[in-house]
Amino acid sequence: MTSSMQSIDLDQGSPQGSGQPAGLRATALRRLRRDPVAIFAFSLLVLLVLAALFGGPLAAHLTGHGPNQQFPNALASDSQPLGVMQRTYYPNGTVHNPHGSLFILGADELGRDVLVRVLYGARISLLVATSATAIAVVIGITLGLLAGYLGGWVDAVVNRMTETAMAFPNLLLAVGLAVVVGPGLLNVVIIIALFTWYYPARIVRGTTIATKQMTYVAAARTVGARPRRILLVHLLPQVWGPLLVYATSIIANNIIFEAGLSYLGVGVPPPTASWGQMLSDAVTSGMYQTDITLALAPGLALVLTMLAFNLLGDSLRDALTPGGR
Amino acid sequence: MRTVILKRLGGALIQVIAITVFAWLLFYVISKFTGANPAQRIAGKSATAQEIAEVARIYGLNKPYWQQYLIFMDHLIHGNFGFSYVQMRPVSQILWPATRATASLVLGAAVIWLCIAAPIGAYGGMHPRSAGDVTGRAIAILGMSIPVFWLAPMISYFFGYEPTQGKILGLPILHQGTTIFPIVGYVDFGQNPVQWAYHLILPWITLAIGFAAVYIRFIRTLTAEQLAEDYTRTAKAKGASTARVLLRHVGRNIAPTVTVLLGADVATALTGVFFVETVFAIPGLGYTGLSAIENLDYPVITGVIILCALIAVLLNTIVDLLHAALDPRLRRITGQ
Amino acid sequence: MTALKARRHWAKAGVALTAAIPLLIAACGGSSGSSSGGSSNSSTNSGPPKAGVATGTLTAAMSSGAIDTMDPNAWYFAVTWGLANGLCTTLIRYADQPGTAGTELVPGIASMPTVSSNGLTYTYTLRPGARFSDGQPITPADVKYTYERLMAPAVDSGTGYYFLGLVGAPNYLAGKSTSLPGITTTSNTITFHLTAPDGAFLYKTALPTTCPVPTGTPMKPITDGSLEEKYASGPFKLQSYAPGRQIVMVFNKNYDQSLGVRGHVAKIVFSIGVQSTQAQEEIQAGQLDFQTSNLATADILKISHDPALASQVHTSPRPSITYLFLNNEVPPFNNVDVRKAINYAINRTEILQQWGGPLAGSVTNNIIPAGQLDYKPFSIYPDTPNLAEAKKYMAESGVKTPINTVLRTQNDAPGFMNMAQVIQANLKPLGINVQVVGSPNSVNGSYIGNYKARVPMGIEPWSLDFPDGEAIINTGFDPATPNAIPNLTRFGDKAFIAPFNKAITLQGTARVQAYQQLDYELMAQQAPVAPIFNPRWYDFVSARLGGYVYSEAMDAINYNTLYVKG
Repeated sequence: MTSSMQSIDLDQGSPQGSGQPAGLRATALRRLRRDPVAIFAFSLLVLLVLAALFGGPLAAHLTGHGPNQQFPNALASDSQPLGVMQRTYYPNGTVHNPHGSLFILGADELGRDVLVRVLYGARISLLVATSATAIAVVIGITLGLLAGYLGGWVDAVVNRMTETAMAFPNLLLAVGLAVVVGPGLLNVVIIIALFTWYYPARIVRGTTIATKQMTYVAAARTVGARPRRILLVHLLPQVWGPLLVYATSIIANNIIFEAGLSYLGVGVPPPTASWGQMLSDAVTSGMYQTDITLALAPGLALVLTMLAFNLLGDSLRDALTPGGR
Repeated sequence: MRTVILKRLGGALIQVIAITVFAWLLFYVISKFTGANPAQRIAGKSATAQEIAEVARIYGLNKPYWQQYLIFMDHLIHGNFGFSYVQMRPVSQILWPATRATASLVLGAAVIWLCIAAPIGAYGGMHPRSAGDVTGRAIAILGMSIPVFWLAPMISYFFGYEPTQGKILGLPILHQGTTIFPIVGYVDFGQNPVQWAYHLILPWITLAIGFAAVYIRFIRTLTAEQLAEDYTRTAKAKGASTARVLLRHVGRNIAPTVTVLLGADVATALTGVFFVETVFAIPGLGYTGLSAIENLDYPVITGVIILCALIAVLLNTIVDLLHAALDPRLRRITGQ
Repeated sequence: MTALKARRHWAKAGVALTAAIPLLIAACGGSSGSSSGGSSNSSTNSGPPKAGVATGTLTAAMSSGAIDTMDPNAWYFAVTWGLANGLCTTLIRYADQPGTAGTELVPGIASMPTVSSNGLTYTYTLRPGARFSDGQPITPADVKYTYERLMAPAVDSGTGYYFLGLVGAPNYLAGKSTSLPGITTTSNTITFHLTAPDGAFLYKTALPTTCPVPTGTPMKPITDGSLEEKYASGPFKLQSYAPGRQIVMVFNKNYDQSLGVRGHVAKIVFSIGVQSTQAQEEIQAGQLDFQTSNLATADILKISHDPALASQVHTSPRPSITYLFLNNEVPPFNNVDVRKAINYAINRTEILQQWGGPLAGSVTNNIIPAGQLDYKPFSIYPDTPNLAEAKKYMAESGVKTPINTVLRTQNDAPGFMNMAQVIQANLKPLGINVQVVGSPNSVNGSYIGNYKARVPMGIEPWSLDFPDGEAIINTGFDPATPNAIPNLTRFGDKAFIAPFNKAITLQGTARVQAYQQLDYELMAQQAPVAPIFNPRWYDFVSARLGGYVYSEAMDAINYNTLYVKG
C-alpha cells in the first residue's frame, strides 16, 4: 500500500510514454506477447476475472451452497466447522442426503462454504477496486491536466494539495470516516477513491508538463487552437500510456485497501463475502488456529491477485520502456 | 541554494497549516453536525442544554470558528494537543510514549529492510538476468504481494505461539513450552534495551518483508542505471574493482534517491504499521489512533492525525533538502 | 464514558475470556473450598495462605476498552467492578463464594442493617477495623459523603437513580438541592430513610459505586486512580495506573482481616490492550496468569478439545442475558404479532453456537437470567425456528412484506457480528430484510441508548447490577419512561406501570413471585424482546493460579480469593 506507489514518483524522471512514437506501442505489444512472465500474469488475471464473473455461481451450482447460505450442520456441536473436503449428510437440517453435501474447502464458523465465498469475494475485490480506481482516475486526470497545462499558481496549489493529502495517515482517516459515515458498498468505493486520486493526478501532471513542451503542442498554440482542444486532442491521449501502466499498481493498491478496511470491520457490510472480511473473521476470532484454511484461502487469493497485478505492471513497464530492459 | 531551501520550507509551512485546518475542521466542526459535539462530550451524557452551553462558554467552544482555530494553533505550537476526556489526561501525554513505540518499530524495521534489500538489489543490478537476479526479483515480487494484515497473524502464530506448543510449522519437534519469541508485548527502550529488542524482532521482520521487497527492486534498478553510466565504465577501465566502484560511486549516487524514498516510506509506513501494532500489542500511534476512533475520542484522533501528517511533512522536507544538498545535478531539476 | 449508564454491559465481550481460576477458595469464615461447575479439579496442594499473608505476583491481560473510568463512585463496566471488589469494602458486601452462594450478602465495613417494621428505615452500624489504606478510619460522615458524591450530577455515576427512593433524593439528583436528608448519621451508625419500601435496598448498599471515599473528595470525576491509591478500603490498593497501558494492584496492609479474610496475593499486574486470542496463547505458554475478557469461540473449541488443559478451565454462570431488542415504537416492531413472529423465527441454538456453543451458555426464553432467585423457567418460544408459527403471526399482524430494517450491534467483538448474520438469515423467510450495521461498542452504545435515533433492533448483552429482578425488569423495561437510556425496546405499555411499581416495594417470597410473574407476562403478552441465551463464563487460567472464584454479583473474577500455588 505504500512503497509501490512511491515508485510512481521515482519514475517520473524517465520519459515513459510521454510523447512516445506510435511505433513504441506496437513494439510494446510484441514484447509483451513474447514475455513469458507477462503471459503468465495476464492469464492469471483473466482467470481472476473469469472467477469473479462465473466462478462463484458455478461453484454454488455445483456444490449446492450459496455464498451467504448458512448450514448449521456444517458445524459440530462444539462449533467446530467442517474441514477441507468434508461433507455433511444433513445439509438442510432434517433431510438425509445420502451423497452428502461436500464442502471443498470446508466451512466457516457460520457454516458457509469457504470456496464459494472466496470465488464471490473476487467479485467484490475487483468491483470495488476498479470502480474506486475509475473515480480516482477521473478526479486525477482533471486535476492533473489542469495543473500541468495551466502551470503557475494553479500547478503550485494542486501540487501542494496532493503532497499534503498524501501526508495524512490514510488508513486511519479512512477508518474514521467510515465509522462516521456508516457501512455500505458505495461508501467504501467513495472513501477509497478519496484516498487514491493523488496517484493518477501526479502521473497526469508529469506527463502533461512533459508533453506541453513538445513542439507540436506549441505549434497548435501558435495556430490558435483553443485550450480545450489542446487538452483533449493532444494532451489527453498521451496520458493513457503511463496511466495504464500505473493503473495496475493503483488497482492492486485498492484491492489491498478494501481488504484492509474490511479487515478492520469498516468495509463491505456482511454477509457479502469479501476477502478482507473473511480474513478478519478467521483471525480476530482465532478460528484460524483450529482450521488454518479459513485464513489461508482468502490470504492466498489476495496474494495471487496482487502477484498477477504486480507482474503485469512490471511487464507493461518493461515493454513500454524504449530500448528494453 | 538559499531560495531552494526557503521555497521548500515555505511549502512545508503551507502544508502544516493546511493539515491543521483540515484536521481541526473534521473533528471540531463536523462533529457538531454528527451529533457528537465536543461540548456535549465534555459535559457528559445527562447534561442539560444549559450545562452544555456553560461548558461551551468555559472552553471557548462558542467563539467564532476562526478564533477557535487560532487558539487551537496557539496551543499546538506550545505542544498542547488538547485534552482527552475519555482518558482524562492531556493528549500529548498519550501521544509521546506512543510515538516512541511506533518509532522503535518503524526505524528498526527500516534498518532491517535496507540491510536485506541493499545487497540483493545491488547484486541484481550488477548481474542482470543471472540466477541470483531472477531469484531476487521473484522474492521481491512475492514479498510485495503479501498483505501485511495477513502476514502479521501468520508470523505471530507460527513463530510466536506454535513453538510454545512444541511445534514448528505444525511439526512437533520442540519441547513443550519453548519460547523462541514472545507472542505479544512491548518493553520500553528506557526500561530494558535487550527486552525491547527481543519483543520487537517478530514485528520488525513482519514490517520489513513488504518494504524489503520494494527496495530490492528500487536498488536493483538504480544500480543497473548507474552501472550503465559512463563514469562507472571509466572507473572500471581505470582498474577499480567492482566492489570499490559500487561503494564509492554507485552507492553515493543512489543514496539521495534512496533517502527520498525512505523518508516518504517511513512517513507512510504508518498505514501498515498499525496492523502489526494490533497483532503484537505494541501501544504505538496506529494502535492509539484506532482505539481513539473506537472510543470517539476526538482530541486523540485529531492529535494522532496531525502528528502523523506533521511527521510526514517534516521527513519529506528534510529529505528533499538533503537530496538537493547531496546531489547538485538535481538541484536545478527539482526547482519548483 | 459509558454509553448506557443504567446497566452494565461488556465492553469487549465475546473476544476473550480470561483464564479462570481453577479452585474456589471460600474466603470468609473459612468454609471448605468447592469447585465451580465445569471441569476443574479441586487440588489442595498447598492450600490458601494464612489470613493476612499475601505472597506472589500474578500477571493478567485486559482488553483496551475494558475500563470505563477509575472514579470509584462512577465506574460501571464489569471489569472495573471486578477491580472494585478488591479495592473497596462497601457497607455490606457479597460473600466470596462461587455460584449462587456468592450472591448472598455479608457484613462489609458495617454489620447487616436493622430494618424498621415498615421497611422505611435501614440502620447500619460501622464495624471496628473499617479503615482507608492510609490508616484513617472510615467514619459515618465519610459514608454519607460517599453516597452524596455518587448521586451528585457532576460525578455522573450510572447508579444514582437506584437511590431515588431516599428522602430528598429526587431534588438532589436533579441538582435542585445540595443536601440529602435521607441519610442521617450518628457517631457510629448510618441510617437511610426511604419514602417507600424497597425490597432490593440491601443489594443497593453493596453496589461497587458506593466505594467509600473520604469527606471532602471533590465532587467531579477523578479518574486517575488517586483515590484508590490513597483511600482503598479493600484487601488491595492501587499502586499505579497508566491509562491504556497498565494497572498494578498490591495487597493493602491496612485492611483489617477481621472484616473478612481476603487477599492472598502480594501484587496483580494488568496489561491493557492485549487481544484475547493472544492472551490465551500466552496463558497456554505459561507467560500469563489470566485475562479479563471472554474467550472467542475458536479458543473455547481449542481448549475444550485438549484434555491436558482441563484443570485450568473454569466455567461459571453469569447474571447476564443476551437478547435481541425490538424497538416497540418503530414499525413493524410496534406490532406485537410481528414481535412474537420474530420470537418464533430466530434460531436460538445457532445464535448461541456463534457465541461458543453449549460450553459458553444456554438458551432461554426468560428475561431474568437463570440462577437468580426470581428465575422461573418457562418455554413459550422454541429454541430452533418454528417457521410455520412465525408466518402465522406475520399474517395475523397484517403488516406488508417485504420489510427493510436495520440491526445495530457492536463489531469490536466477532461474536456479535456473527450472531447478527444468523438473525439476518433467520428473518429472511418472513420477508424481513435485515441490514446489519456494526460499529465500535461506544459508537453503537450511543445510538441504541438514544431514543431519538429510533434504532429498530439490535443484539445486546445485559448484566444485572445486582442479583434481583428489579435490575433488569424495572431498569430495562420501565413502561413509565420509554425514552430512558437503558429502555432499549422503548417499552411503554401503560398496563404494566402499576405491577412494575408494586414489585419494587415487595420483600421476600412475595417479591420473588411478583418478578417471576412479570417475567412470564411480559414475554407471553407483549414480547418486547427476543431473549436468546444466558452466557456462561468460560475461563482459562495458568496452572499456578489458585483460589479461583467467579463473582456472580460483580460478573467478574473475584481477586480476593486468588493465591499463587506452589
